[in-house]
Amino acid sequence: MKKYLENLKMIYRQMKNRSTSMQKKLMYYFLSIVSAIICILLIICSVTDVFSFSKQHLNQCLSMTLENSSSKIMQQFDRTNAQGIKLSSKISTEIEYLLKKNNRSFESLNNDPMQIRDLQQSMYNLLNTALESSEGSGAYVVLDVTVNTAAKDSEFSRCGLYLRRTSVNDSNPVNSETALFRGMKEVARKNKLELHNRWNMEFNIKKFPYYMEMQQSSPMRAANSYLWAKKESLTDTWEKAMLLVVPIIGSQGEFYGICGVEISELYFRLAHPSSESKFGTIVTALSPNENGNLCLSKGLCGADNRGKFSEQIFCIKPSGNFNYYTSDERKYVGLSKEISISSSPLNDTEWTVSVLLPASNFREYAVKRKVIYITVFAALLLIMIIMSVFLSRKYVQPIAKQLEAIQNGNLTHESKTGLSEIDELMNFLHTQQQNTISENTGIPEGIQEIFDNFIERAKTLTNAEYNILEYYIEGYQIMEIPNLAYISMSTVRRHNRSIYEKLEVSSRDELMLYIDLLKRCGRLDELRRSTKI
Amino acid sequence: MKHKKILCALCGICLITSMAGCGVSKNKEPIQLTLWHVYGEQVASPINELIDEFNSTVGQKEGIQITVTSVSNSNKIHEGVLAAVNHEPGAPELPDIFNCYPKTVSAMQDSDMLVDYRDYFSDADLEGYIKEFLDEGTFDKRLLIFPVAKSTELLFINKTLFDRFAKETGAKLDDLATWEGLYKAASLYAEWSGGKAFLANDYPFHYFQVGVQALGEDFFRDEQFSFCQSYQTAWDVLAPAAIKGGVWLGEGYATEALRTGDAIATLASSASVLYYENIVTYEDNTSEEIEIISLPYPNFENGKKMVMQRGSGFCTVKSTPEREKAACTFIKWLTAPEQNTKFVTSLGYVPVCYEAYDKYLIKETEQLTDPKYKDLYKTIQDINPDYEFVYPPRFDSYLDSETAFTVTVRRLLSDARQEYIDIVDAGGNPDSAVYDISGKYFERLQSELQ
Repeated sequence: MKKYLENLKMIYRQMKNRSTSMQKKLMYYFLSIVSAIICILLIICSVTDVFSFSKQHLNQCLSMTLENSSSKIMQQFDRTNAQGIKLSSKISTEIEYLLKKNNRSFESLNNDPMQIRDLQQSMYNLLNTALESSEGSGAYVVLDVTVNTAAKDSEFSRCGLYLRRTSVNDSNPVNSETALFRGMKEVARKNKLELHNRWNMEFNIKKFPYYMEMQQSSPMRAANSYLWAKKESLTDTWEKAMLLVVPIIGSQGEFYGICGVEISELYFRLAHPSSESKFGTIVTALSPNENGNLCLSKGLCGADNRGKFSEQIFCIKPSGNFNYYTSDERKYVGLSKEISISSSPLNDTEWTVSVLLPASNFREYAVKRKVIYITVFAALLLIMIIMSVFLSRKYVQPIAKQLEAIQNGNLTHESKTGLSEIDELMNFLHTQQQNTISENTGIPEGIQEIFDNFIERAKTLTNAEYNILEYYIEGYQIMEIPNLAYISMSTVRRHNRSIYEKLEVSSRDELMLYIDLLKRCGRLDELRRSTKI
Repeated sequence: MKHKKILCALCGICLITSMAGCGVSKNKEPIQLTLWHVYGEQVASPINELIDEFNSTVGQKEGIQITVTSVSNSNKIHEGVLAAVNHEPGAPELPDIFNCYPKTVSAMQDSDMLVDYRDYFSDADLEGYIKEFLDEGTFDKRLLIFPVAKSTELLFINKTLFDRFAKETGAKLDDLATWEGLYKAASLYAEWSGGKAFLANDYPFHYFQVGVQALGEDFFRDEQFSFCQSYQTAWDVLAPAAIKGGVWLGEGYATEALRTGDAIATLASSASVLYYENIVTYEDNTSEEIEIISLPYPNFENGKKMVMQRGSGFCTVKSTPEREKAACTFIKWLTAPEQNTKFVTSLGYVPVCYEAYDKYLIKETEQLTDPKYKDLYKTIQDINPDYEFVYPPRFDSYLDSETAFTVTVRRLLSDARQEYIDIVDAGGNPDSAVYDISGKYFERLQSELQ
């Protein structure tokens, strides 16, 4: 380990000692800053939960949907419960009125089909009104008497009426058609009702939820004793429903039977359509929560576009902003809220309203968000890298040029980098260079200035004049120049005059002296132009 | 060189972005189609399992989910569809697919709202389906009703009670092959049982319509009841039995009368087999296990063997091409020969494609375990070669004519029956009363409907 660290140290030292270009170094610095900025941004995003925005949004969306759905369901069940209690009271009054009128006891109705038929007929209107005004798909009353006590299994057979809507699609009560599911056929015929395809004359109380429990518990008040039975199949039909069970209690506390309202799975589904959100379709469910499991198979659920949803049992796993609901086949995310819809001590079911979204929909949404974040950060990083390259290059290029000029000995006063410190350094180096040249040649400072001025004046020559001067520098005589330059002698003379004037010399000999001196001082190149014209 | 580096960096970012995109699952919301069908009404129907099967197989793969939002009968669907089409108050929202007969499409003011299946089924696809069934659903060369299952009318008998009656009266099942024999047995049963009905007929209109045709005359002339001689013949066979109480004249389906013991024979669609229970519950709440058998549709002694071809088809409401295609995918799946055979034999129907008859129907019916269903398919196989199938004529007022005729016949026969009871109670001669009342009420029928 120690050796490894030493190796690392050595590599670092080598890297540190290794010479790197100024531009690269500057670029590395820039990139370090960019990396630091990105890291800080990531830390800020993490701390401020930017990356879990999807979960928070989902939580807000689910909370709002849950609030709306639970409020709607509570209202529906509250009204239905109130109707059930009212129905129970009305039926009890009706029974007692008929018993009093005919001077009969309730038990004496057993084996009296005529009286039972009359009783059913009088209850039909109550039940039909309850059905039409309720938010349910059926209404029923089971009375604690039977048409024939001698019939087979009569101890479990009880008379009553069960009306069901034949088409829950039909939202208009005026056109609502009703079928008689249980009850005497004469009642159906008198009231022009269809007999249900799976009609039976009486109820089998062994199969009817909570009848026997209600009978045995001797409830005293309907308002304290109603309950909702878990979803069950209606015998031999394709439908499943939840039933409100309300005891019918006489004025002296007698148990006359039970009554209530049915909410079928289909009816609930149509009444609670799925809601669309940016995450996908959210489904509402009312179901029992049994030991941390959401049992949709025992409750009702809204429209879902994935088959067999209503038969699922979900294990609930809380996870911060929402819960995960997992069954053998499916996974959903959602929220649940406990509601109270029953008052009877016979039933301790913990009913919950849940709003559920397929987990895959949420995953898809979260991935999309991540892609957006990654793209934005990647784009930011790219822009910063390009800027780093561009700025480092722009910054270093003039300095590098000046350094190159120093290396080539071409440093001039005109060369500027735009950076005051560097320009001052260059001026200083230029002056130093000049001083060095002076010191090397041993020419007095005044003479040096004369040469400088001469060189400066030479720059004012025209191209033609400079060509003539070049011939002189190369040692040609004035007579040779017309042939070499393809010009006349008079033109040469005219240029000569101009050269003398501009260089402030009075004769060719003085001119040749300057040229000779400059050559000797090693400054003849300064007189030359870069290209011969 | 530096440009190349920048290009590489850009490519890298694109790659990262696209790879991140690869993580996005294509979790498209399935197309949810609503369906109103007639297969089962309130009973546990095998089609629900088939729909679950479709949803979890082909539907899952293709992103289609079928939801049944109403299981009703064709008359209620007819009313619902027309109410929705005419935007009547309280009308339900139209589903994507619904069952209906041609009479519903004829009654719709705008049939352009329905999908022409020829847009989604090629000619080669359609060649596999029975031509007459396709013709029945074709309107102005547009295939608007797709056949999915066909039925016919049969005579169902509560054999347990019939045997008891036959034992004492000498009535025979063979007598029920003709209308004359059937209504004679009905009269006999009424006398034997003290006025109870023998027969409940779901479609008394078809008795007259098919009967008149079977006797060689036209039931309709210029879209009006022809009231030709055969009307009188059919009435004379039916009315005496009804007047004596041998015919159930109450409302509701014939299955109800059989379930309550109010009748022991029914004339109903072969598809009604699903609704019969092997039990009768009497007024004293005692029940009795029964055996139900089926017999071919009766015919007149001097008439041809004819029977009404029944069975509604699927209409699809126009929406988006994706939804329409999804609906057709479901219909194609349901009417594929093997699938179709499985579907129809669970409900008392017959298939709609040739291959189903050739390859699968016999095999499938051999596997049936319920004796009621076994007997039904044996009867259907007996009917097929001998009978001529009748399709209802297609004109706008056909449904109104059917309703008016049915209601009037039932009302007049009920009145005639009551008059008969009054005369007999007053000590009149039952035989002459039947004769007089029958003649009188036929004249009423004629005058009310002509």
